[in-house]
Formats: sequence, C-alpha cells, structure tokens
Amino acid sequence: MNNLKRITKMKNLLLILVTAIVCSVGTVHASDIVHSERDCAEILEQWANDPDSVPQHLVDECKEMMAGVTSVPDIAPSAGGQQAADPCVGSGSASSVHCWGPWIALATAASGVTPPDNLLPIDDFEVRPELAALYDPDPLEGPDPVNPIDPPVDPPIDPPIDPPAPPDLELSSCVAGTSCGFATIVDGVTGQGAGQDTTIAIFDLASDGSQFSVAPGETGEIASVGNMLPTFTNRPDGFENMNSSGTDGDERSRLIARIIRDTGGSVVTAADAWAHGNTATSVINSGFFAWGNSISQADVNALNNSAVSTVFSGPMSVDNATTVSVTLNFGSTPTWTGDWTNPGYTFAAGGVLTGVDLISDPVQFSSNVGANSFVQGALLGDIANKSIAHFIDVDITGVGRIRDVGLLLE
Amino acid sequence: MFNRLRFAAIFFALTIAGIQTTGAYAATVILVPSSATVNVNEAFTIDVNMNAADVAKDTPAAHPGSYEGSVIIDFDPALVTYSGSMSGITTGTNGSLQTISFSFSGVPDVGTVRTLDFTAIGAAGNNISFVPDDADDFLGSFASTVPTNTPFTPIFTAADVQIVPLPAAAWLMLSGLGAIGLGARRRRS
Repeated sequence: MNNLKRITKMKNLLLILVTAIVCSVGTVHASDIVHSERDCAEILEQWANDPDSVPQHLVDECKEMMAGVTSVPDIAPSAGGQQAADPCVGSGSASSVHCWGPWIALATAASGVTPPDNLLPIDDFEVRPELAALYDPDPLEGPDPVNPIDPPVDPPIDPPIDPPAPPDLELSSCVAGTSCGFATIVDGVTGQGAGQDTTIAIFDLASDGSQFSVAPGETGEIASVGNMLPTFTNRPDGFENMNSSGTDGDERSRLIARIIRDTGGSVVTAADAWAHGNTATSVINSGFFAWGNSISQADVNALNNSAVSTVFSGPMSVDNATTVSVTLNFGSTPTWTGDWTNPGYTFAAGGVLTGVDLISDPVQFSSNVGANSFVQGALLGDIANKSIAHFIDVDITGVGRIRDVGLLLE
Repeated sequence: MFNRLRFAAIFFALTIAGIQTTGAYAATVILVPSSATVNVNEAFTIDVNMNAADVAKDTPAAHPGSYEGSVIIDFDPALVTYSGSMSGITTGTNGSLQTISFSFSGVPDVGTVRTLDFTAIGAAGNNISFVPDDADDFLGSFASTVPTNTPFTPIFTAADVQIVPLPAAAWLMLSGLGAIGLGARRRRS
C-alpha cells in the first residue's frame, strides 16, 4: 500500500516536473502535440498573444478542433490589433500566401473554415479590366455580364475577290521584247483626215525599213511592197529622217519617218507617215504611225523595282500642233498620267502599265472626254533609252472625235 | 509608166477632198517666168515658188528650213529647151512632151525652191506651157519634216510663155542699118 502511494506521489511529482520543464522550455515544444480542447484553447490563446510563438499547423489543427465549440472570429487574437492577429484580414490578404484570398471558393469543404465576411466574392474581383474591355467593349450591351467575353465567332468569310480587271484594250496587247506600233488609216494620200474617217490599227515595220504592214494578220491588212529602198538624212532633233519607197508591179509604197537606229544600223524606233496604193485600182491608203521595239519584261521589272517616275514628251504625228506629256510611275502597281495640249483643245488621261501596255482608265479621263474613248501605248526601248508609242482615240466635247498617234521620248 | 493625166485628175480630186474634209492646208507650187513673152531664141527663167506656210501646224516659223519635195515639169520640146545646169536635174519624156524633174529639201516654207533656165526655140506666135506636178504623182513627195514628217499635196499652177516676133521698129532699124551699109559700100566702089 505504501508502495502504491509512493508510486502515485512519484507520478504526481513527475507530472509536475514535466509540466515545469515544458513551461520552462517554452510553449512551442509544449504544444507540439494537441491533446484536448483545453490544450487547444491554451494554444490559441497563446497564438492570440503572440502569433509567432506557435507553429501554424498547430493553430490550424486547433482551429479545426475548436470549430465545433466556438467560431474562429471569436477566438481570433485580440491583442496586438486585428491586422496583426489575422493575416487574412486587411488589404493585403488577397495576395498573402497564408490566406485563400479570392481562391476561398476553391478551399476544400473539409477545411470547415467559413469564409470571412470581408472577402469579396470572386465575381467582384476585376482581373485585368483593360483586357476585359477588349473582349467586351460595351459591357452594358454584353449578353452575359458574368462572362463578358463572348465566345469567339469566326469572321464571315467573303467569297474570293478577283483583282480588278485592267481597262479594256482597243487594240491587241504588245508582247514585251517584240516590235509594237500603232497607225492611223485614211483614204487617199493626204495623210490627214477627219477623225471620224480615220481608223486605228496595229503597225509593224521591218528593222531595215524595207517593208511595213498595217493591221497585220487582220482582215483588211495593208502590206507594203517588200523591196522598199530607204535613204537616210540627218535631222536637227536627234532623229534621222528615213525616206523609203518601192514599187512592185502595180503596188507602190512609201515611208517618210523620223527614226532612231542602233549601232548595227537597224531601225529601233520610227514614227510618222506611211502610204501604199495600187496604180491599177487607184486605191490608196495612207496615215501616220508610231513604232518601235518594246522594252523587255526584265527591264520593266527592274524599273518597277526602282519605283522611278519618268516623263515622256513629244508631238503627235497627225496633228503636230498637239504636244503630249506623259508621266510613267513605275512601282508595284505602275501607273501613268498624261496631258494632250492642242491650240483647239486639251484633255488629260491616266491609267495603268500592264506589262508594256499603257492602258487608259475610263474614270481618269478629264471631264471633256466622252465615253468610248481610249488611249493605248507601248513602252519601247530599254532602261537607258525609253520611249512610248501610243495612239489616242478620244471624243472631245465641242471638238469631236480625235484619232492620232505619237512617239514620245523621255 | 502611169497615165499622168489620169492620176493628176485623181490626185486633184483627192487633194480637194482632203481640203474639204479637214479644212487643212492649201500649199501651192507656182511657176513664175521671168517674162510673159520671149522672142525666138531668147533665154528666160522660171522660178518654182512654193508656199506651204500652213502645213506645219505647230509653229512654222520655228523650223522654216524643213520642207522637201520633188517637182516634175512638162513642156513642148519643139518650142523651148532647157538651157540651165543639169545638176540635180533629171530629164525624160511624157508622150510628146519633155520633162525635167528635180528634188529639193531643207528649204523654207515660203520661197523659190529652184530657178530653171530655158530658151525659146519655137516660131513666133507659139505659146509655151510649163506644167508642174509632184514628181511622185501617186503617193506624193512633198513633206514638212519638222517637228514631224507631214506629207502634203500642194496645188500646182502652170505657167505660159508667149513667143513673140521681133517688134516692127527692130525691123525698120535693121533695114536702115542695111541701107546705110549698102550706101557706104557704093561710095567706096
């Protein structure tokens, strides 16, 4: 019996000793293990007085244990102020690693923690409002204020749009690097006729001046004799003059032209008058022409890459009182504009350069030019020596139909 | 060879038509003799005058020396003979008529393109006709070359020269001189 009392006394002493040791060592070690609600109450009370004196996991365990007895706010430490007592209260709580912040909705149900009243519902958080504005410029008109970002809607796909077609050509296109020209045709030998009695056609010339053809390959082609003999004389304007004529039976042909020859003596550019007739039938046609070797496509590409502008000028051939200035703007979309000035009229035109073809755009004619008017030309020469052969077939208000051809030099 | 008269008629019609339809130029080539009458064996000249002032439509005065063409002139070889320089002259025939032709270039729009020398050889009382035409009477040869080559067909005007007998006074004077000479010869003998 005495032994039992002695043992009981020793247990009490040991308990006192342990309690004393625990108390002397500190609360941290003493409270590492949660034994009861009372212990938790003490731990929480200690945490309330000094939040750093108790490990967080003990506080959490005690909060869970005490949840059924009393609410967290009730046991929230009061000493040191509310801000210090609960780090999840206050303006910095949303960004604190110790708090759920706006993610409280994602907290496990087992946590048993009631969201603080001062936490904003997630919908009240504005996350990058500037981005939201991009998705819904006018939230008032948005269908869903909770989810203002409309689901992506595929933009309507328009049917493919063909590139704008170039304006019509009155005569056939000129192939880069080949000879190209245009001519007027009148009856008789005067070489000049009223516009309404004049027609426009393709013109071609042999580089030695020995023959020519008007409307080659077409019905009504006018082909010269094949043995014309040219003579050349100097001129004061940089050209040479070429008089070339020939006879073949009843057929007779003649050219009188301003020309430019290359170093080999071949005619590369020519303009002015042609005539051809048959002495037996007395049928004679004549007219004017502008002709030359068109520029190569490689040169055109080079000019377009350089995006330069070049001005061409010169007189028309039928009516040399008409002077012309054409500006060619090379580039990715080469264009041209031109002015024709005559003592009796003026007009302007513009269009595009397609390949080596200058083609007028109906909407770019000056207001005194009527419908069904055309200007067409071909870019001749090479990069260093460019020229333009062209014709006009225009209806001028108060003047009438004007048909003419011209060679323009840069 | 072409029937010149036929083509002359054609080109005259075409020229007139051209003028009527275009209201264009009216260039002329006119033969102007040095005298309207000549005596037998008398020499004379004919100027070939051109006026093409309105051919070049831009500014003719800016390029006055830029005209060219070829002229052919018919005449009766029984009445007159060409007695001038043969430089640049081509002679020929047209039926019973004789022709001379020449070309010119670099001449003014208005002026004499060439002066031709003739001598009357026909009997008095005959009329010598000089008929000019374009040497290329089919397709034409006249042109203004600056600023562009502009062909044109001028209107040609012929010239007539009358062969006349020596005046009566000349015969009287010759008779008097003859009488004086005869009297002097008798006194010496």
